[in-house]
Amino acid sequence: MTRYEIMARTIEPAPGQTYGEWASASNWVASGQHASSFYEAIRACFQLAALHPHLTFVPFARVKAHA
Amino acid sequence: MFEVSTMDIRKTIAPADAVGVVMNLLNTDRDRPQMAWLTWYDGLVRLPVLTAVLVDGHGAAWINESRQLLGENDPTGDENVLVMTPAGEEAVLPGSALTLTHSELSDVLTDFASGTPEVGFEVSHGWRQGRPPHPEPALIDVPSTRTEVIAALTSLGARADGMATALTAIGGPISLEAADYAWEIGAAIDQLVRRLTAPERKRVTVIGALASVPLAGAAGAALRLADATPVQALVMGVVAFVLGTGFVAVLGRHEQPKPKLIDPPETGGSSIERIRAAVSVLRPALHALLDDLERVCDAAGAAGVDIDLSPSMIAAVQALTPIPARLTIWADHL
Repeated sequence: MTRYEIMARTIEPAPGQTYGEWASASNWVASGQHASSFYEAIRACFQLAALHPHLTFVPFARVKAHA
Repeated sequence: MFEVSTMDIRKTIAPADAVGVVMNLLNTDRDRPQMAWLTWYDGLVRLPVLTAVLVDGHGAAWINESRQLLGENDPTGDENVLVMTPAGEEAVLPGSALTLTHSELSDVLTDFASGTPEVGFEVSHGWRQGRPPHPEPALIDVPSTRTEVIAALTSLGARADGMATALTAIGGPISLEAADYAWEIGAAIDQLVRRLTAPERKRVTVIGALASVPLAGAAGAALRLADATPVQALVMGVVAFVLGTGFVAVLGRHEQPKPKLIDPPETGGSSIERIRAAVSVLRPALHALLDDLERVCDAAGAAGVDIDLSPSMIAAVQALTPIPARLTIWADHL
């Protein structure tokens, strides 16, 4: 069974910053949330993003899946 | 900002104007159910907000017609559908669809655009309940080993590319949007496979280099015996080393399967009929692709494979979830 770990970015993008620039300037940290299925993990990303205004959207969260 | 799109119109609007613009667009034809899609974006990110907005122009009969349309075409159920009704009107609503008056919708959109967390949570919680479990038969064997996981992912990447190609060939706003997301998934899977196979590729290169050392030595020694100068022998030895390393690396490379292209059935009818026929083939294929991706990811952990779903893949999968239904609705409106 895959265990999905929801990750989040530590900083929000600056105005005018490209995705690549922002991605290289910020780090991923574990959010403490986990999911046990693919779509549950994707939903969790959106919920995490919605609950944290500074994260705002799903591309600011990602999923690491491991045993 | 919001982007509002109907079957043939796409425009950017401010949050405060969203409801009015949607209403104007949808009210241009009151004799049939009209649909529009709202997308929120900030330049970096595009996030579908509303999959469908149905405006009640003619009371319960219109709602029932919409309900029938959605019931036939929305395999995800009613959860992604927002039904708008005039303030105070009772409506027979399909399933768990949310009902908002115009002013309530205006408040939701404004709050969403301003990033109010509670509204955002309600949006994702209420309108994005995920997909039903495996509506399409699996086209892929569930992998149980690392090698099988990598092979399955490689195959899925090729399928995503093939799907994107086919959707692009159909054209039209919805199919092109779906094609973009299919390309995203294909690219994300390709990156994932490269990351997973990086240690193996490195190992093969090292083995090739080690195996090429005696080859290079032998080549140099042979040239020396043939009265070549030491420099000539050295140069040929280096050439033999490079060729040997490259040869082993090529031999050890994973074969990339070609995209699995989907051939829509030839109807021999009009272009509209061909588009509808193509969508009827592509929609279940797109569903099956997402389902197989889910199966492979869920099985990867048991196979001892750590995978990293990139933000672009997550966003694409989430965005594609309602699109198979939209494909059919779009084709039906042609």
